[in-house]
Amino acid sequence: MSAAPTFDFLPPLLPANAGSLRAEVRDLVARERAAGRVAVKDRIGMAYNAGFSRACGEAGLIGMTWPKRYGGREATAMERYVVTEELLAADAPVRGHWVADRQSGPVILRYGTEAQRERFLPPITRGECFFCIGLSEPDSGSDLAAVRTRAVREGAGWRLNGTKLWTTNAQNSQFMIAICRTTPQDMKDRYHGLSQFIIDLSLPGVSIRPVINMAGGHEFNEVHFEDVPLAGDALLGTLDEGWKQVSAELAYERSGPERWLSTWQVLAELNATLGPALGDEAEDRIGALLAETLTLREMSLSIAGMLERGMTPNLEAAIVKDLGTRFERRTVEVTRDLAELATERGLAVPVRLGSLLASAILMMPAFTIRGGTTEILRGTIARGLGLR
Amino acid sequence: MTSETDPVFEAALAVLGDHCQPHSLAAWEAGDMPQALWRDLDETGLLSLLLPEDAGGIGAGADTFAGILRLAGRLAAPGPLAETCVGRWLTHAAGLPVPAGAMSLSLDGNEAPGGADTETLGVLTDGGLVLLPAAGSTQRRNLAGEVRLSPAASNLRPTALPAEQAARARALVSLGRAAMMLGALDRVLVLSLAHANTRVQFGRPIGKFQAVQQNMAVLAGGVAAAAAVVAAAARDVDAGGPGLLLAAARARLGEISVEAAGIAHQVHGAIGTTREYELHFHTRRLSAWRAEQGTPRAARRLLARRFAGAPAGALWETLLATG
Ligand SMILES: Cc1cc2nc3c(=O)[nH]c(=O)nc-3n(C[C@H](O)[C@H](O)[C@H](O)COP(=O)(O)OP(=O)(O)OC[C@H]3O[C@@H](n4cnc5c(N)ncnc54)[C@H](O)[C@@H]3O)c2cc1C
Repeated sequence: MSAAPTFDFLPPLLPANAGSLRAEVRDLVARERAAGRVAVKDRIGMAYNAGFSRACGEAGLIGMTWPKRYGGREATAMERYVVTEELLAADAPVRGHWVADRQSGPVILRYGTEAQRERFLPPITRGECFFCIGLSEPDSGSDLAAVRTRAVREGAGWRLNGTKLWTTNAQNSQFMIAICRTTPQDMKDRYHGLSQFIIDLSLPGVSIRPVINMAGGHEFNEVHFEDVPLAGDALLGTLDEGWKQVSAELAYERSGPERWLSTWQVLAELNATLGPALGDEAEDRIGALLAETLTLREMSLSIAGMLERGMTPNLEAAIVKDLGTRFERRTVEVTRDLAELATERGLAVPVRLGSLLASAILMMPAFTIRGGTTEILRGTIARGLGLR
Repeated sequence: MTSETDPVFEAALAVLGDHCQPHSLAAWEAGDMPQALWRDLDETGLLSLLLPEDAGGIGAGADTFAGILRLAGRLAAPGPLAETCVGRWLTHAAGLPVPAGAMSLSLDGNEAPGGADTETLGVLTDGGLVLLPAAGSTQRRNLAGEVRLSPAASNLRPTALPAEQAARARALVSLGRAAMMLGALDRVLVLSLAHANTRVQFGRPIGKFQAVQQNMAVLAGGVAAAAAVVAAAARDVDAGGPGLLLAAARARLGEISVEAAGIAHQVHGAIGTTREYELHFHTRRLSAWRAEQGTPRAARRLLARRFAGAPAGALWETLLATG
């Protein structure tokens, strides 16, 4: 009987200095909280805090794996993983630099020119230069080959027109890496003719309009480009071959622990609220969530290990995101039931649990959409199984 | 977990692969015990997998053990393989004579796997280990038609065991069951994938339909999660940890196996529900095994109790200390 085509997650190897890295992060967050520069939030989601991002930069926690000459510390992917996990679990306000650290920087490092690396990477590592992701558009969501934003040659540079949508944190970012059409679409190869550009959002012709989400928050935006003049060196990587670069970027985007830690604060607060004597129902349901947490963490660790070995764990990342987002939903469901149980038992249910839960209920629909919808991820997995 | 390149794994693959063919499954269930398989397992030393080398064993750790039990589960190998391996290790460690042939191990008097002419049934309780002749126990067949033994009441004095030994034996027996479930999941995925690729409806293989693809992706994701957590559990058992990753594995397998079996049957249509097609051998085993040598519910309870009442800010740190 043949072996199964399981995507066997290779065993993770935690770095020897994991403990000291964790302590470094915990100390930083504790220090910033004690100084009143970082608040304890009562809603889920990543907060923006420019000062905290700079503090992370000073502590050497941004661009950790990059070469020292660009401001990195040449750490391993596993070491970076430990830090990201710790920052997320501590609910640190990392929104500002998160995208630049996770994907924009690595894409510049891999595909950028020497001049681009020297220009962008050091300020990113200092926590002074923030990036946003310019993939989605009004008519292009899951189907990224359908983007309409166009860059047309003009002299030594380009003229940019179009609209990006759902751009998280554009309002606080100096730059966007956008995917744009540079050659009209050919239906025989829909992914040819796309190119990536680094767009300075302070250029004339760029306008950013907030789009308020259903939780009432301003996280994403509509970014409109009207005859924006781009210099020649705004092109990132190879002209018309941007699709390959986007695929690499998506692998960075999807492989982190943020896909199952969004509701961690809810679970931790619920567990504390229920106290030491859980009773049958709470034991059964909290135990199931903890089992899922431990399993997802093993999988994430393994993905970090694969990145470190130079592999591209796209499939594995798709699996973790699918499992992780389902787990986050279940956390919310269980919390609703068990908060009711706690009230029935006359336990003091902290106001914070109620507000965390309320925000999670409102943010939850986005979990299975952002970063690639569940259906698209499952399509990726099915392709890995050889079904498509 | 152990891979194809490990010589012990290769030996196991040779023996198990030789004797365990899909067409044997029905015969075994009808009571035709594969004595040749068990003889070969014994002769190649695989039943002494966990015994130290100086006691004539292979001296394997939990990781290799889990890899081999996964293989056994994939092939639906009959008989108390995990229990014999653990039982031999435990009796030796306790200074008792190591019983010959197949033996089983009951945790706290609960039902234990039989078959393969099991001669000895060890009963592990808080008081220690008692060895009983298997012949005196009550026999039953589980959902998969496998022989299960319930130990008869006994007033023999248990041999006391050091706490770590007893804990390791319990953990290994539970891990063995988890690894076998993972193997059964592997097989369920292979069968479903093959069916999706070959069954044609509406002029194309059903695997070309997006609804089927999406289900297959969920099935594969479940198997991947199971593999990751069982591997972690094996590491945890080797490290003599508090067993929380093992509990996570048993809890997750309880859920994953139900979801996976559901999808596998859905993908197969009616043929999957027949005796003549192979799928049911594995889905029935999954249904039975999830609550043998431990249960998902007990595993969830253990996890929850370990972290109950931890202050919100400390839960993460406490959790990381698990393994
Ligand atoms: C909170 C949040 C933050 C975001 N931040 C950013 C950002 O910073 N930058 C950015 O570029 N984008 C961002 N996005 C956009 C996100 O990447 C897209 O929403 C996502 O890729 C899906 O696109 P869509 O919303 O247009 O949905 P659509 O693609 O229109 O999909 C709608 C539905 O149809 C299904 N569907 C579509 N195609 C298929 C198919 N082939 N097979 C089966 N089902 C299909 C989808 O699964 C979904 O259920 C963000 C989104 C959210 C919710």
